[in-house]
Amino acid sequence: MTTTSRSITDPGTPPSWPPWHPLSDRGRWAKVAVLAGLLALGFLHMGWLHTGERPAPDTLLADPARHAGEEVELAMMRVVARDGARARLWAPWIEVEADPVDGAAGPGTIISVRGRLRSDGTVAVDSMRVYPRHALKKAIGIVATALAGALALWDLRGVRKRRA
Amino acid sequence: MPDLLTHAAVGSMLGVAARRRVLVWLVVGSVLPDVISRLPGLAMALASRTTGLPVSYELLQAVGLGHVPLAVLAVCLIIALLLPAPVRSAAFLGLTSGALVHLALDTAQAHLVGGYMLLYPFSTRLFELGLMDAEASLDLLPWTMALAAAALGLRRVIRSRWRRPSAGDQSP
Repeated sequence: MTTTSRSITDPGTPPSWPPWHPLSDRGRWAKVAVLAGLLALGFLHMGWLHTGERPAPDTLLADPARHAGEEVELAMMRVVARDGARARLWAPWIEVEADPVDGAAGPGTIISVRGRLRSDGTVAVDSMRVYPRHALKKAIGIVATALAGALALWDLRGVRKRRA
Repeated sequence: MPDLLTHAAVGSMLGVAARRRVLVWLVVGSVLPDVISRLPGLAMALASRTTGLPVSYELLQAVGLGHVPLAVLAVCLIIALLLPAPVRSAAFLGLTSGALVHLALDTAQAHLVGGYMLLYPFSTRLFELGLMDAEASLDLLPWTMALAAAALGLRRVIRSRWRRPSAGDQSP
Protein backbone atom coordinates (compact mmCIF):
# COMPACT_ATOMS: atom_id res chain seq x y z
CA MET A 1 0.00 0.00 0.00
CA THR A 2 1.44 3.30 -1.01
CA THR A 3 0.40 6.33 0.93
CA THR A 4 0.80 9.87 -0.10
CA SER A 5 0.07 12.66 2.21
CA ARG A 6 0.31 16.37 2.31
CA SER A 7 1.63 15.97 5.81
CA ILE A 8 5.32 15.65 5.70
CA THR A 9 7.24 12.53 6.63
CA ASP A 10 10.47 14.10 5.51
CA PRO A 11 10.65 17.17 7.74
CA GLY A 12 13.14 18.84 5.45
CA THR A 13 10.55 19.36 2.70
CA PRO A 14 7.77 21.88 3.35
CA PRO A 15 4.24 20.90 2.28
CA SER A 16 2.94 22.31 -0.98
CA TRP A 17 -0.13 24.29 0.04
CA PRO A 18 -1.63 26.77 -2.43
CA PRO A 19 -1.14 30.41 -1.39
CA TRP A 20 -4.75 30.80 -0.29
CA HIS A 21 -4.58 27.82 2.10
CA PRO A 22 -5.04 28.90 5.76
CA LEU A 23 -1.95 26.96 6.78
CA SER A 24 0.32 28.27 4.04
CA ASP A 25 3.27 30.49 4.85
CA ARG A 26 1.86 33.26 2.68
CA GLY A 27 0.63 36.08 4.89
CA ARG A 28 1.28 33.93 7.93
CA TRP A 29 1.81 36.76 10.36
CA ALA A 30 -1.09 38.73 8.96
CA LYS A 31 -3.33 35.72 9.51
CA VAL A 32 -2.09 35.37 13.08
CA ALA A 33 -2.66 39.07 13.70
CA VAL A 34 -6.21 38.98 12.31
CA LEU A 35 -7.14 35.91 14.33
CA ALA A 36 -5.59 37.35 17.47
CA GLY A 37 -7.49 40.57 16.90
CA LEU A 38 -10.79 38.73 16.52
CA LEU A 39 -10.07 36.76 19.69
CA ALA A 40 -9.30 39.96 21.55
CA LEU A 41 -12.65 41.40 20.44
CA GLY A 42 -14.38 38.27 21.63
CA PHE A 43 -12.52 38.45 24.90
CA LEU A 44 -13.63 42.03 25.47
CA HIS A 45 -17.20 41.23 24.52
CA MET A 46 -17.29 38.24 26.86
CA GLY A 47 -16.14 40.44 29.70
CA TRP A 48 -18.69 43.09 28.77
CA LEU A 49 -21.49 40.49 28.82
CA HIS A 50 -20.83 39.97 32.50
CA THR A 51 -20.67 43.62 33.43
CA GLY A 52 -23.15 44.31 36.19
CA GLU A 53 -22.42 41.07 37.96
CA ARG A 54 -20.11 41.76 40.81
CA PRO A 55 -18.15 39.84 43.39
CA ALA A 56 -19.31 40.57 46.92
CA PRO A 57 -19.17 41.60 49.66
CA ASP A 58 -16.93 44.53 48.89
CA THR A 59 -18.71 45.69 45.75
CA LEU A 60 -22.32 46.69 45.49
CA LEU A 61 -24.55 45.42 42.75
CA ALA A 62 -26.17 48.02 40.57
CA ASP A 63 -29.83 48.90 41.26
CA PRO A 64 -32.32 47.23 41.15
CA ALA A 65 -30.14 44.20 41.92
CA ARG A 66 -28.68 45.83 45.00
CA HIS A 67 -31.18 44.29 47.36
CA ALA A 68 -30.70 40.95 45.66
CA GLY A 69 -27.00 41.23 46.22
CA GLU A 70 -27.46 41.94 49.89
CA GLU A 71 -29.87 39.04 50.29
CA VAL A 72 -27.49 36.71 48.51
CA GLU A 73 -24.73 38.00 50.72
CA LEU A 74 -26.83 37.23 53.79
CA ALA A 75 -27.44 33.73 52.46
CA MET A 76 -23.76 33.28 51.90
CA MET A 77 -23.00 34.56 55.37
CA ARG A 78 -25.10 31.67 56.65
CA VAL A 79 -22.94 29.32 54.58
CA VAL A 80 -19.85 31.01 55.94
CA ALA A 81 -21.11 30.67 59.49
CA ARG A 82 -21.73 27.00 58.90
CA ASP A 83 -18.61 26.11 56.99
CA GLY A 84 -16.21 28.99 57.52
CA ALA A 85 -15.95 29.48 53.79
CA ARG A 86 -14.75 32.64 52.15
CA ALA A 87 -17.44 33.71 49.72
CA ARG A 88 -17.00 35.05 46.24
CA LEU A 89 -20.36 35.57 44.78
CA TRP A 90 -22.01 37.12 41.82
CA ALA A 91 -25.56 37.12 40.55
CA PRO A 92 -27.24 34.95 39.44
CA TRP A 93 -25.09 32.20 40.88
CA ILE A 94 -22.52 31.90 43.60
CA GLU A 95 -19.22 30.23 44.03
CA VAL A 96 -17.58 29.91 47.36
CA GLU A 97 -13.95 29.25 47.91
CA ALA A 98 -13.57 27.57 51.21
CA ASP A 99 -10.83 28.22 53.70
CA PRO A 100 -9.42 25.19 55.51
CA VAL A 101 -12.02 24.30 58.12
CA ASP A 102 -13.67 21.24 59.54
CA GLY A 103 -16.98 20.24 58.06
CA ALA A 104 -18.51 19.92 54.65
CA ALA A 105 -16.42 22.63 53.03
CA GLY A 106 -12.72 22.11 53.08
CA PRO A 107 -9.73 23.57 51.26
CA GLY A 108 -10.46 24.01 47.60
CA THR A 109 -14.17 23.22 47.92
CA ILE A 110 -16.46 24.93 45.49
CA ILE A 111 -20.09 25.37 46.48
CA SER A 112 -22.52 26.28 43.74
CA VAL A 113 -25.72 27.93 44.86
CA ARG A 114 -28.75 28.58 42.72
CA GLY A 115 -31.02 31.38 43.83
CA ARG A 116 -34.14 33.10 42.63
CA LEU A 117 -34.70 36.81 42.37
CA ARG A 118 -38.05 37.53 44.01
CA SER A 119 -40.35 40.30 42.86
CA ASP A 120 -39.52 42.31 45.97
CA GLY A 121 -35.86 42.27 45.02
CA THR A 122 -34.77 39.70 47.57
CA VAL A 123 -33.12 36.43 46.68
CA ALA A 124 -34.04 32.96 47.82
CA VAL A 125 -31.34 30.32 47.80
CA ASP A 126 -32.98 27.29 46.21
CA SER A 127 -30.33 24.66 46.01
CA MET A 128 -26.72 24.11 46.72
CA ARG A 129 -24.16 21.70 45.35
CA VAL A 130 -20.80 21.04 46.93
CA TYR A 131 -17.75 20.11 44.87
CA PRO A 132 -15.26 18.95 47.48
CA ARG A 133 -12.59 17.80 45.08
CA HIS A 134 -12.11 21.00 43.14
CA ALA A 135 -8.56 21.40 44.42
CA LEU A 136 -7.74 17.87 43.28
CA LYS A 137 -9.07 18.68 39.82
CA LYS A 138 -6.92 21.80 39.72
CA ALA A 139 -3.82 19.80 40.66
CA ILE A 140 -4.64 17.16 38.03
CA GLY A 141 -5.12 19.94 35.50
CA ILE A 142 -1.67 21.33 36.17
CA VAL A 143 -0.09 17.88 35.80
CA ALA A 144 -1.98 17.16 32.58
CA THR A 145 -1.07 20.56 31.14
CA ALA A 146 2.61 19.97 31.92
CA LEU A 147 2.47 16.53 30.29
CA ALA A 148 0.77 17.89 27.18
CA GLY A 149 3.32 20.68 26.93
CA ALA A 150 6.16 18.19 27.27
CA LEU A 151 4.61 16.06 24.50
CA ALA A 152 4.40 19.06 22.19
CA LEU A 153 8.00 20.05 22.86
CA TRP A 154 9.13 16.48 22.30
CA ASP A 155 7.42 16.37 18.92
CA LEU A 156 8.88 19.72 17.87
CA ARG A 157 12.34 18.73 19.05
CA GLY A 158 12.12 15.71 16.78
CA VAL A 159 11.38 17.98 13.83
CA ARG A 160 14.37 20.22 14.56
CA LYS A 161 16.68 17.22 14.97
CA ARG A 162 15.64 15.71 11.65
CA ARG A 163 16.07 19.05 9.92
CA ALA A 164 19.57 19.44 11.30
CA MET B 1 -15.77 19.79 33.57
CA PRO B 2 -14.07 16.44 33.59
CA ASP B 3 -10.51 16.58 34.87
CA LEU B 4 -7.77 17.19 32.34
CA LEU B 5 -6.25 13.73 32.59
CA THR B 6 -9.63 12.31 31.59
CA HIS B 7 -9.75 14.73 28.68
CA ALA B 8 -6.26 13.70 27.59
CA ALA B 9 -7.03 10.00 28.01
CA VAL B 10 -10.26 10.21 26.01
CA GLY B 11 -8.49 12.22 23.33
CA SER B 12 -5.71 9.67 23.07
CA MET B 13 -8.22 6.80 22.84
CA LEU B 14 -10.15 8.51 20.05
CA GLY B 15 -6.93 9.23 18.18
CA VAL B 16 -5.46 5.79 18.63
CA ALA B 17 -5.61 5.05 14.89
CA ALA B 18 -4.00 8.34 13.90
CA ARG B 19 -0.39 8.97 12.99
CA ARG B 20 1.88 9.65 15.93
CA ARG B 21 2.17 13.36 15.28
CA VAL B 22 -1.59 13.82 15.00
CA LEU B 23 -2.07 11.80 18.19
CA VAL B 24 0.46 13.94 20.09
CA TRP B 25 -1.26 17.17 19.07
CA LEU B 26 -4.67 15.64 19.70
CA VAL B 27 -3.64 15.14 23.32
CA VAL B 28 -2.40 18.74 23.43
CA GLY B 29 -5.67 19.92 21.91
CA SER B 30 -7.67 17.95 24.45
CA VAL B 31 -6.31 20.12 27.27
CA LEU B 32 -6.23 23.36 25.29
CA PRO B 33 -9.69 24.78 26.15
CA ASP B 34 -9.01 24.53 29.86
CA VAL B 35 -5.52 25.97 29.47
CA ILE B 36 -7.09 28.99 27.76
CA SER B 37 -9.93 29.29 30.28
CA ARG B 38 -8.45 28.28 33.61
CA LEU B 39 -4.78 29.18 33.50
CA PRO B 40 -5.39 32.96 33.35
CA GLY B 41 -7.80 32.65 36.28
CA LEU B 42 -5.25 30.73 38.33
CA ALA B 43 -2.60 33.28 37.45
CA MET B 44 -4.91 36.15 38.40
CA ALA B 45 -5.82 34.49 41.70
CA LEU B 46 -2.14 33.94 42.50
CA ALA B 47 -1.32 37.54 41.58
CA SER B 48 -4.20 38.73 43.74
CA ARG B 49 -3.00 36.74 46.74
CA THR B 50 0.55 37.96 46.22
CA THR B 51 -0.13 41.63 45.58
CA GLY B 52 -3.43 42.08 47.40
CA LEU B 53 -5.00 43.58 44.30
CA PRO B 54 -8.56 42.45 43.55
CA VAL B 55 -9.21 40.02 40.74
CA SER B 56 -11.10 41.49 37.81
CA TYR B 57 -14.41 39.64 37.61
CA GLU B 58 -14.88 40.60 33.96
CA LEU B 59 -11.46 39.17 33.10
CA LEU B 60 -12.31 35.95 34.90
CA GLN B 61 -15.48 35.60 32.85
CA ALA B 62 -13.93 36.79 29.60
CA VAL B 63 -11.62 33.78 29.47
CA GLY B 64 -14.74 31.65 29.10
CA LEU B 65 -14.03 32.29 25.42
CA GLY B 66 -11.79 29.25 25.69
CA HIS B 67 -14.89 27.05 25.61
CA VAL B 68 -16.42 28.61 22.52
CA PRO B 69 -15.89 26.34 19.48
CA LEU B 70 -15.11 29.14 17.00
CA ALA B 71 -12.65 30.76 19.37
CA VAL B 72 -10.93 27.46 20.07
CA LEU B 73 -10.62 26.83 16.33
CA ALA B 74 -9.02 30.23 15.95
CA VAL B 75 -6.55 29.46 18.73
CA CYS B 76 -5.70 26.11 17.11
CA LEU B 77 -5.08 27.88 13.80
CA ILE B 78 -2.86 30.47 15.48
CA ILE B 79 -0.83 27.75 17.19
CA ALA B 80 -0.51 25.80 13.94
CA LEU B 81 0.64 28.91 12.06
CA LEU B 82 3.31 29.50 14.70
CA LEU B 83 4.68 25.99 14.21
CA PRO B 84 7.15 24.90 11.49
CA ALA B 85 5.49 24.04 8.19
CA PRO B 86 6.25 20.29 8.33
CA VAL B 87 4.31 19.99 11.60
CA ARG B 88 1.53 22.41 10.82
CA SER B 89 -1.05 20.23 9.10
CA ALA B 90 -0.90 17.36 11.58
CA ALA B 91 -0.76 19.76 14.51
CA PHE B 92 -3.85 21.66 13.34
CA LEU B 93 -5.77 18.45 12.75
CA GLY B 94 -4.79 17.08 16.15
CA LEU B 95 -5.38 20.32 18.03
CA THR B 96 -8.84 20.93 16.61
CA SER B 97 -9.91 17.31 17.04
CA GLY B 98 -8.74 17.22 20.64
CA ALA B 99 -10.26 20.59 21.48
CA LEU B 100 -13.64 19.72 19.96
CA VAL B 101 -13.71 16.40 21.85
CA HIS B 102 -12.94 18.37 25.01
CA LEU B 103 -15.86 20.69 24.38
CA ALA B 104 -18.16 17.74 23.70
CA LEU B 105 -17.21 16.13 27.02
CA ASP B 106 -17.71 19.40 28.88
CA THR B 107 -21.13 19.90 27.33
CA ALA B 108 -22.19 16.48 28.61
CA GLN B 109 -21.93 17.66 32.21
CA ALA B 110 -24.54 18.85 34.67
CA HIS B 111 -23.91 22.04 36.60
CA LEU B 112 -26.26 23.69 39.01
CA VAL B 113 -25.99 26.86 36.96
CA GLY B 114 -24.15 27.43 33.74
CA GLY B 115 -23.33 25.87 30.43
CA TYR B 116 -21.30 26.75 27.39
CA MET B 117 -21.88 29.34 24.69
CA LEU B 118 -21.48 26.91 21.84
CA LEU B 119 -22.93 29.27 19.24
CA TYR B 120 -21.03 32.38 20.24
CA PRO B 121 -20.77 34.99 18.65
CA PHE B 122 -24.09 34.23 16.99
CA SER B 123 -25.83 33.50 20.29
CA THR B 124 -25.01 33.81 23.99
CA ARG B 125 -27.36 30.99 24.94
CA LEU B 126 -25.80 28.44 27.26
CA PHE B 127 -25.88 24.76 26.39
CA GLU B 128 -25.40 21.73 28.59
CA LEU B 129 -26.63 18.13 28.31
CA GLY B 130 -26.63 17.35 32.02
CA LEU B 131 -25.52 13.73 31.62
CA MET B 132 -22.87 13.54 34.33
CA ASP B 133 -21.72 15.32 37.44
CA ALA B 134 -18.76 17.67 37.09
CA GLU B 135 -16.63 15.54 39.44
CA ALA B 136 -17.76 12.13 38.19
CA SER B 137 -14.64 11.79 36.04
CA LEU B 138 -12.48 11.65 39.17
CA ASP B 139 -14.19 8.45 40.27
CA LEU B 140 -13.59 6.88 36.88
CA LEU B 141 -10.07 8.23 36.38
CA PRO B 142 -8.18 5.02 37.19
CA TRP B 143 -10.31 3.10 34.70
CA THR B 144 -10.04 5.82 32.08
CA MET B 145 -6.26 5.88 32.37
CA ALA B 146 -6.08 2.08 32.23
CA LEU B 147 -8.23 2.02 29.09
CA ALA B 148 -6.10 4.70 27.47
CA ALA B 149 -2.90 2.84 28.33
CA ALA B 150 -4.36 -0.38 26.92
CA ALA B 151 -5.46 1.36 23.72
CA LEU B 152 -2.06 2.95 23.21
CA GLY B 153 -0.30 -0.32 23.97
CA LEU B 154 -2.47 -2.13 21.46
CA ARG B 155 -1.76 0.60 18.93
CA ARG B 156 1.95 0.09 19.36
CA VAL B 157 1.67 -3.67 18.91
CA ILE B 158 -0.51 -3.42 15.82
CA ARG B 159 1.60 -0.75 14.15
CA SER B 160 4.85 -2.58 14.80
CA ARG B 161 3.43 -5.75 13.23
CA TRP B 162 1.60 -4.26 10.25
CA ARG B 163 3.56 -1.11 9.40
CA ARG B 164 5.57 -1.40 6.22
CA PRO B 165 8.93 0.33 6.59
CA SER B 166 9.15 3.51 4.45
CA ALA B 167 11.77 6.23 4.24
CA GLY B 168 11.30 8.86 6.92
CA ASP B 169 8.40 7.17 8.65
CA GLN B 170 9.32 7.08 12.27
CA SER B 171 5.84 6.72 13.76
CA PRO B 172 5.54 3.80 16.23
